[in-house]
Amino acid sequence: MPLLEVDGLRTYFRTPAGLAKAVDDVSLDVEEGEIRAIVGESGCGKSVLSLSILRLLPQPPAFHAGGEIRFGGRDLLKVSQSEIRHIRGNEISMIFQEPMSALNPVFTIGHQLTEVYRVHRGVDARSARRQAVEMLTLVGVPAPEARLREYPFQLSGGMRQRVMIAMALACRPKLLIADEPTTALDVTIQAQILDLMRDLRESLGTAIILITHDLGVVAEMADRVSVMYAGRVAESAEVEALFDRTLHPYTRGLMHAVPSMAGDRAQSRLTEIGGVVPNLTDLPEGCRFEPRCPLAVAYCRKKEPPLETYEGAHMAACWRAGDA
Amino acid sequence: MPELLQVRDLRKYYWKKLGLLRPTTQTVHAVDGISFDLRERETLGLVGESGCGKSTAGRSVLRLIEPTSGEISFNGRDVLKFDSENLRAMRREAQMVFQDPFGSLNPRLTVAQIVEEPLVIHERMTGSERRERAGEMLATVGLRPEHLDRFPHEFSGGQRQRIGIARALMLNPRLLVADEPVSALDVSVQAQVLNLMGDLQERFGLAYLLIAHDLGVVRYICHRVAVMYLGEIVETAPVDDLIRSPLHPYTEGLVSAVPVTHPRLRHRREGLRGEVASPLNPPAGCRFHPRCPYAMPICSEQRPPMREVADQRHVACHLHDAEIAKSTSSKEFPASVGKNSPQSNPGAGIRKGGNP
Ligand SMILES: Nc1ncnc2c1ncn2[C@@H]1O[C@H](COP(=O)(O)OP(=O)(O)OP(=O)(O)O)[C@@H](O)[C@H]1O
Ligand SMILES: Nc1ncnc2c1ncn2[C@@H]1O[C@H](COP(=O)(O)OP(=O)(O)OP(=O)(O)O)[C@@H](O)[C@H]1O
Ligand code: SF4
Ligand SMILES: [Mg+2]
Ligand SMILES: [Mg+2]
Repeated sequence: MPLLEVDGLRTYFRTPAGLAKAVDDVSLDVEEGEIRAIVGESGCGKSVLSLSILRLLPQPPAFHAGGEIRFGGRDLLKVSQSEIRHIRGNEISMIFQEPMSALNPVFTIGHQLTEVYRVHRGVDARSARRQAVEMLTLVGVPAPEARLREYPFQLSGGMRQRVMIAMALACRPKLLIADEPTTALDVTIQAQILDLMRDLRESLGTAIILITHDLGVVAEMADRVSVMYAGRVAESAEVEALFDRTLHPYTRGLMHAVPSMAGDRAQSRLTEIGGVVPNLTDLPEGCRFEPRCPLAVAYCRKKEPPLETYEGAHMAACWRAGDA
Repeated sequence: MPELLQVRDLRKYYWKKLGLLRPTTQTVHAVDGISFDLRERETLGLVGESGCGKSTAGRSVLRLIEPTSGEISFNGRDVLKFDSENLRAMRREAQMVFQDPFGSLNPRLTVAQIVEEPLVIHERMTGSERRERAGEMLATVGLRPEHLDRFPHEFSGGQRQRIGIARALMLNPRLLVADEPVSALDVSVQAQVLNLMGDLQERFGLAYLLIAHDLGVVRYICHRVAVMYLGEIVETAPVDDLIRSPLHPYTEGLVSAVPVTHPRLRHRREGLRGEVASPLNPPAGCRFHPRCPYAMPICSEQRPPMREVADQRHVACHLHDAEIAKSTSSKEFPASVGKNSPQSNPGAGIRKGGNP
């Protein structure tokens, strides 16, 4: 049985412009110890999906319009407030895109990190401090004793992200949700953080939902990957299968639009995906990608394509999946 | 092709007051003695980690901020001697495009007002002539004349970046300094803007100074690259050479840190350890030496000068000083760089006496 199963999840927002279907019938599962990537462009619903799992969205304007999230035999959308609070941090924890926003600027790193052990683990101050130092060492923070006395603003972006990872892993959760953990970092620091996450997965067995807009990060890290477009999963596959052969024209478009470091540099043009993402309050009738799709046929405008399984575990939501 | 822009030993320092009781002034060496050339119709990329001084360099070149010292020659004329009249004339020929398509356009002005503004300052034209030019320019960058009366918030990120580019092109400049023009955009839209920049270069004979941190973008659009580290340029090279065989250990680290393009290419990388040092207190000798895997004793003592080590290849690193290299020949030169350039070797360029 998978560690986490998201099944037909719908998270909508009531906005002045109408109903925004930010996450609209999304299904995916996460196996124990697996790195599961979710990739897609800005606004496609990656953060809303992850915040839905931990029930961290403000309601209203958000509301749950359908589906289940199964974790350890429970539906996370149905458990009590106190139970979800216990699950957060103990069993599932999250790190955010902007590490500054998740650390409290007025407390030292030491205060915030030992607090996690004291609240969640109920250990005394000395033992919390010892565990905090151990954890900072594990995530590669040099001179951890000294860092405990520092404030978040005194750390570089890369160090802050390491501290965030230390806090998130303090209680050895089974699942870590990492929302664009390296987007704000320089590429050399990104490489360090990605290495760290890979090592921690090996040594602690933590499963990771890795949210990113960067196909390079997916190629570097993921076991399996789901590509999202406008609130839905467009394609889902084992990572090698996806990079070997895309089934959905959106994924193919994304892959060709990236100015790559490999292969011959075509002095010619990058492949564009014309147009822009649809407005979530005013989605096209049939396939959401149809207005930008080079393969679209009349039928695509009539009926929304369901997510269907093709070779092995490779799934796509496209009436012309696999057509070149 | 003739040089359009020549920058020599450009510096920009900021002074920062630290401490409350006994305030001391510290110097931020934001840009610390950089030199480079840009030819007509050429794209030069300026890359490096956050805070290394790329934006400061770009703005100093156009005198949007005043450099502390150095020489800038644009079209053979000394930019630092310009009075305000000369500067105004220069702004016709050299324009800036900014990173943030959301912050860089005045939200209270219509697209027409934004795009026509350079004409209002620089040209004697009637209102209807200006509007016609603005409409044409919008069409050039892939928007429509009817967009003229809309406001910036009505456009997507990519469209706003096009508006910024249209505005910069209104006076037929010869140089665009583009500071991270696609960093805030999604890849599908980024591709549109990069293609547009390529087309415009061809059509108008533009030169670009492109500030970027994505080496994929740089590889695609730049002819040559200058790599900055802590206020200095450490290497310049034609883009393919730089990526295939980086000479400076920092460039090597930068190139090898780029994620792979296919999961089967995953590998354990040596990677750069440590973090960028502060421009408040740059390390002595080679500024990169605290992070450099090949550092030698001399590296913490002497600042390596920029040397031409092969055609069009310049590097500031003691490893590439022939004398020093000889005396430390027992020491291995930097080994494999990583997946993009498995056989490359920072010493290879000189040892084989030229470019591959
Ligand atoms: N509080 C809210 N009220 C209304 N709409 C919202 C709210 N939060 C998110 N949305 C909408 O939900 C959609 C999905 O947003 P989400 O933040 O999940 O995107 P994302 O994929 O994480 O994008 P990014 O890559 O930019 O982080 C967006 O269109 C956004 O405007
Ligand atoms: N007005 C200023 N006063 C003081 N210090 C400044 C000022 N502007 C920039 N700096 C400092 O100068 C250095 C170079 O900054 P700059 O913005 O040029 O870097 P950058 O390479 O463009 O970085 P990024 O990639 O983050 O945009 C940084 O350390 C920065 O903090
Ligand atoms: S269903 Fe049709 S429009 Fe949608 S992606 Fe497939 S081919 Fe394109
Ligand atoms: Mg997000
Ligand atoms: Mg900058």
